[in-house]
Amino acid sequence: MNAVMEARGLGKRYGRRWALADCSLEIPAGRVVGLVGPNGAGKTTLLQLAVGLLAPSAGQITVLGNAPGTQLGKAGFVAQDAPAYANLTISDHLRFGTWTNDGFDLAGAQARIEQLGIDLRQRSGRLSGGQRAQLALTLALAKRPQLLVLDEPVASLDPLARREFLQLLMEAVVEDELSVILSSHLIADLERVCDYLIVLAGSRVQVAGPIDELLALHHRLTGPRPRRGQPLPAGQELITESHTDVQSTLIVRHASPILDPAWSVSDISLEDLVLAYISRNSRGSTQVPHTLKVAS
Amino acid sequence: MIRFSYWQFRLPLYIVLGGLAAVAVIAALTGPALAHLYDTTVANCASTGGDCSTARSVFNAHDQVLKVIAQMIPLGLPAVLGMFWGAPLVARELESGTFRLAWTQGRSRLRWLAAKLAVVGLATLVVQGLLSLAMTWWWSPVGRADPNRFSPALFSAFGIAPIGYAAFALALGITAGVVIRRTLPAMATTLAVFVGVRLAVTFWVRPYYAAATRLVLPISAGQTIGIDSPSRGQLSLNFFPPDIPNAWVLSSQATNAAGQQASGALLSQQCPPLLQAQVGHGSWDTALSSCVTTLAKTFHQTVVYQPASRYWPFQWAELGLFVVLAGILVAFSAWWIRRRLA
Repeated sequence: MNAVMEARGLGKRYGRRWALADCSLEIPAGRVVGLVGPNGAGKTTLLQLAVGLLAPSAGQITVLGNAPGTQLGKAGFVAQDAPAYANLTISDHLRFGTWTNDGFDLAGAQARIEQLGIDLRQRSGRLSGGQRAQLALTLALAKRPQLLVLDEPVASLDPLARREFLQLLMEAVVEDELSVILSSHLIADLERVCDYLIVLAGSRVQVAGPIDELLALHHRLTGPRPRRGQPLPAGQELITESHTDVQSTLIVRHASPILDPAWSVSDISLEDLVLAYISRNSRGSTQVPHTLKVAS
Repeated sequence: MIRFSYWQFRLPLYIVLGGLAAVAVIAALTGPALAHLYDTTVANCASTGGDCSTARSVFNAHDQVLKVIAQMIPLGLPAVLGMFWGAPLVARELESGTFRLAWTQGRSRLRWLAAKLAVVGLATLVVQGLLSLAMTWWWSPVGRADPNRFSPALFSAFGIAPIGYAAFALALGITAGVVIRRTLPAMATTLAVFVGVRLAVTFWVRPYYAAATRLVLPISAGQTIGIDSPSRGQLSLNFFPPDIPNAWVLSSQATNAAGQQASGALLSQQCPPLLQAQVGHGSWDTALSSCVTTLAKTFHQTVVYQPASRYWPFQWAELGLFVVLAGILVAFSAWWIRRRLA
């Protein structure tokens, strides 16, 4: 079993709107996967499908080799905003974990909470957003899952809490060799912890792959603005383009080296890569700019 | 899972148990006095023999507020349990998002629901059962003074039927919460539907648990007759049914073969002296008795009733009906949680 998550033609429809459409993915084990995309892109839908909170309207998904929801103990999940029982204490939550999971690491979880300086007798409703996120992560980790699924875990946290959360997460990843899928719209956070990227926009997967490979595959081309009808360098897939009167900047995914001396080639950052795919989607992926032909 | 369900449920459980304890204390303080009053009035009179209606009315005049409350509490408790235990059971988790936490632990949603149901369901049966016991004990002198417990209000307040109502109300609350997904609207819906179903069953279903007994009797001047005269010359005679001990009388009508009642034109045609007596000509009593004698030739009184012996079969039927309804609702909720909330 190599893939922690495998989706084929996966889709989820609400009424007439597809929150996620035609999603095919194969996420290898041992990765920290960043799922990124604008709000409403379908990130939460995909993650909830992965943990069995939602059932697909189309296609299939397997997680750790099984249908989601059949082996709940193997996947840990932290939902958006880290829900907790507001009128129960932290130790109630840990007991909840013990009572609802086999092999729950109660001692480890208690140690982690104490290490964070949170009082076990405190009600979870009185925790700060960061502490609640830490509690949710602690609960999920204490299940000793093979896969950890985190939905926007740091979105509501201040920068310091965010750093602490990600640090705790990375320690766990190193210690327990688990696979992680986390969604975020903050690329900087993903860059710090992730080694695999999925860009989701407009309910569809735009690009997916190991981050180092993606960065090696994509380049920024800068050069004089091409005349009408003039083709791009061969072997390039145009992701986005921007033009001034005399100069064009293209972001391309290339299959072969670019030898055309008219273009200067530079590396792009993860942020540029993500934004390129998101902005390509927002303009409509099927639209081909009339001033440029996309060489196949 | 069951332990957690109990842990989560502590507060509402303790609140209701506290209320139950308060009711029990009040019942324990006032019950003996009521029993003593019964012993010194009705029971005392009955042992000496003779007409006890005075003793009975003395007894009935006492503690009227408490007697109404003693009926209202067992009638109202199922609705309270449905609203405050049933409706929030799932709805609160859906509302606060904690279902995403609960449903992604190592237990399936059905086990999660089963654990909650086991705890809250058991608590419901125990609380309603204890309350029924306490109220039945408290009520027993009143019941001995007037043993008819087949009337709609008393039937629903005592016996085993309230346990069925409580189970049904709880299941209804859970279902409303699961479908509506918000606690307050689910509570309101629970109350409205529960009251509606209870009334519908009382008046449209319960009379038919067994085919009613029909009694056809001649009318006589000796029976109690009610006289309505909305205006001069407009008279109607209502023949009260004979006393059928502790029965539930569904209908009682005095009619002739054509189905007409003793009123209006028919009465003025058959009993002119009665109308004259009404305006002061001749003796009213004579006119009435001769009128009844005339009417008796063509009139019969038809009483439709459920005899007292059917009280317990009807209690069981009512309990069974509401338990089955509760079962259907629980199965529906389980299906909805598994399939629709996915």
